[in-house]
Amino acid sequence: MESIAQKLGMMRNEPEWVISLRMEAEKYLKTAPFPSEIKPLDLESYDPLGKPDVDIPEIKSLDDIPENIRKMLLAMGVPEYEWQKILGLVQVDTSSQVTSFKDYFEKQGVVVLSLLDAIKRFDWLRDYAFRLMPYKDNKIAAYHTAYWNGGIFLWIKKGAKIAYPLHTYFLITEGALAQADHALIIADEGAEATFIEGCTAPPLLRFSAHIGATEVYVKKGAKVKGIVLQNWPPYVNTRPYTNVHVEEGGEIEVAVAILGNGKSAGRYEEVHLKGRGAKASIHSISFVKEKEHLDDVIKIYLEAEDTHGLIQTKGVIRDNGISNSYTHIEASEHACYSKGHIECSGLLLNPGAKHTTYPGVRSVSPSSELTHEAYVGRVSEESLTYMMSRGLSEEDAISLLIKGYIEPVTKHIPFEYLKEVQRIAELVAKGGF
Amino acid sequence: MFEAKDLNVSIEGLVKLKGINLEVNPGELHVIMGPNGSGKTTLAMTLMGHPKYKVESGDIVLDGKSIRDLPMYERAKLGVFMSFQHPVEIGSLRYLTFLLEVLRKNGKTPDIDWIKRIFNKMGLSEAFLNRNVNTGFSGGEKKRAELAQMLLLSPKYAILDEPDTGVDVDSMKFIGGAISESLSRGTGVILITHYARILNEIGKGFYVHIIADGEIKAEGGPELAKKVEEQGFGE
Repeated sequence: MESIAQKLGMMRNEPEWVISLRMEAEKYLKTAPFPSEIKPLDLESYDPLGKPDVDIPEIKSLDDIPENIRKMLLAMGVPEYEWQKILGLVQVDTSSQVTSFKDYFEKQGVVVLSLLDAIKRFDWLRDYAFRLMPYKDNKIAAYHTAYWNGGIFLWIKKGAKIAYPLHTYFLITEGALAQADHALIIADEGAEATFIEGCTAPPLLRFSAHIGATEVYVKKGAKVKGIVLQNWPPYVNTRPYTNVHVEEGGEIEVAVAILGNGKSAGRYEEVHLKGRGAKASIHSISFVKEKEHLDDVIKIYLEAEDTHGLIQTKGVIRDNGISNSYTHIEASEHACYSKGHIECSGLLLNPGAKHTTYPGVRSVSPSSELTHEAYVGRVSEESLTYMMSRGLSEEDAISLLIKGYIEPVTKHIPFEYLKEVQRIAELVAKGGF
Repeated sequence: MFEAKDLNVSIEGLVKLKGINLEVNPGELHVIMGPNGSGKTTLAMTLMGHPKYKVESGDIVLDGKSIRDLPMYERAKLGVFMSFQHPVEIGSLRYLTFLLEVLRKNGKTPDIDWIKRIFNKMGLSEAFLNRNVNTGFSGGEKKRAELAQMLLLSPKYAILDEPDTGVDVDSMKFIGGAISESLSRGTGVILITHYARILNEIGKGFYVHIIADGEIKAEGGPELAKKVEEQGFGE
C-alpha cells in the first residue's frame, strides 16, 4: 500500500529523517487513541493530500468577502486596511514590509524561516522538531507528525532580547492557512521574546479540519511570552496541540483568548518544567456561543525543584454553547518545594449554556504544594439591577460584567489586540454578530 | 423639582403605596421615617424605577416631565440616584472598573485620581477600588462607597435608603458629611432613616414625612423628627 506520508514528504523534498518519522507515525495512526479529554474527530475522512474541502468562492478583492465575515469585521471595528492581511489577500511573507521586518529581526538575533526550509538547512533540528509531541502519545500527535504540511521556525538566539512581539501568523502565510501547520520555536539561553499566534478575526480557511501544532523550547534562563488568539470560522473543526519544555530558570507566560470555536474546538496544551526554578503561567479566556463546543485542556508538569505552575481559565458561555475545561498540575518526585495553583471558572449568560470544569492536581512530592479552585456562576438579576440603577442599560451591564470577569486574564493581552477582544466580549453580551 | 403625584404602587398584586405625594426642590432635604414594612423602601425603589414595583396610578415627574415609564437606567442618566439599603456584592467586577464605566456612561470624565480623592474623602483607602464591588466590605464601608458614588455622579436628586443603618459612629460622620456636601451643591435629597442622629450630623433644615401602611400620615419639620425619636410612631 502506498504511504501518503511518504508521498507528502517526497513531494516536499524533505530530509530522510523527516520522511521516516512521518511513516512511523502514519503506521501508528490507525490504532492511536484520541486524548481522553477531547471530542474525537474522524481524521480518516480528511485527505491530507487532497484539495481544500471548503468551497469558498475565489476572493480577489475586498468585494468578494462573504457577508457574515464582513459583518463581523465591521462589528469588531477592524480597520479596513487590515482586512486584506487577515483574509490572506496579500502574501504577507513576500511583501517588502515583512522582508524588512525579517532583516530587522535577524540583526537582533532572530531566525525566521518556513519549517521546511529550516529542517533542510539545519540538520540539528532533528533533535528538536516533533520531539515534544511523540506520535505515540495520541491520535492528534500521530496525525500531525504524519501529515503536517506547512509551518514556521523561529529561533531566538542566545541572549537575544526582542522588544517587539513576533507575529507568527503573518510572518509566513504558508503555515497559517495550511491544514496541519507546525510551529517550532526555540528560545535559546537567556533569550527573551513575545509571540503572537493567530488573529482576532476569523481567517478564510479552505479546510474544514485544522490540526495545527506548536512546539516551544524555553532554554536556560530564557523568558517567553505567548499570546494566542483564535477565532475560527463556523465550518471548521480544530484540534490545536501545543507542547512546551522549560529548562532551568526559564519562564513561560501564555495568554489565550478563544473568541470563536468553529464547529468544534479541542485545544490541548502541555507544559513541562524540566529545570530547577522554571516557571509557567497560563491564562485563558474563551467565549462559547450558539452551537459551539470547546474542550480546553491545559496541563503543567512540575519535574524539577522549585518549579512554579499557574493555570487560570475563564469561560463565558451563552445560548446552548458547551464548554469543558480540563486543567491539571502534576508534581513528580523531583519537584521538591514546588508550587502549583489552578483557578478555573465559568460565567453562564443564560439557561441552556453549559460549562464543566475538571480541575485536577496530583503530587508524589511531599514538599510541594498544589491547590485548585473552581467556580461556575450565572449573571445575577440583582447585580444587573444594581448596575442599571447607575445608568447602564441591561446590555451595557452584561457587557461590563463580562469585561470585569475576564479582566484578570485580559491584563496579559497587549493593548492593540485588547480592543478587539473587548469588542468580542461586547458582541457576546449582545447575543452575536 | 422631583415629584411623586398621588402615587399608587403594588408588588405582585399586593398594594404597597397609597396616594403618595411628595415634592422635592433642588438642595432640599426630605426625611422619610416610618416603622418597618411601612413602604419606605418601596417608595425609594419606585422612584428609581425598579421593574418589580408596579405603578398602578399616579405619576413621577422630574423637572416637569413624567419619568414614570422610563427604565431605571434612563432615570439614572437624567440625574436620579439611589443608594441601596443592601448594596449588592459583585464578586467578579473590580470597583474601579465599575466606576470608570458608570462615569463614562453618565457623560463624565473617568478620572482615576478624582475617584481616589472621593473615596479617601469617604474614609475609604484606594485598596477598596481594587477589590470587587462591595465584596467583603463591612456594612459601613458599603454605605460609604454608595455615597462616594453619589459624590462622583452629582445627581439632581438622590434617594438614600437607610444609609445610616448598621454603621459605626465614624461611618455616620462620613455619611452625614457627604449628604451635607451634596445638598450644598444643589442635590435634592430624599433620606430614609430610623434615626434622628444622622440629621444632627447634617445640621440643616429639613422636611419630615412619616409613612405607615403605605400612606403619608404626618408631615412637618425637625420638631416632628424629634417627637418621633422620643415617642415612636404611636400617633
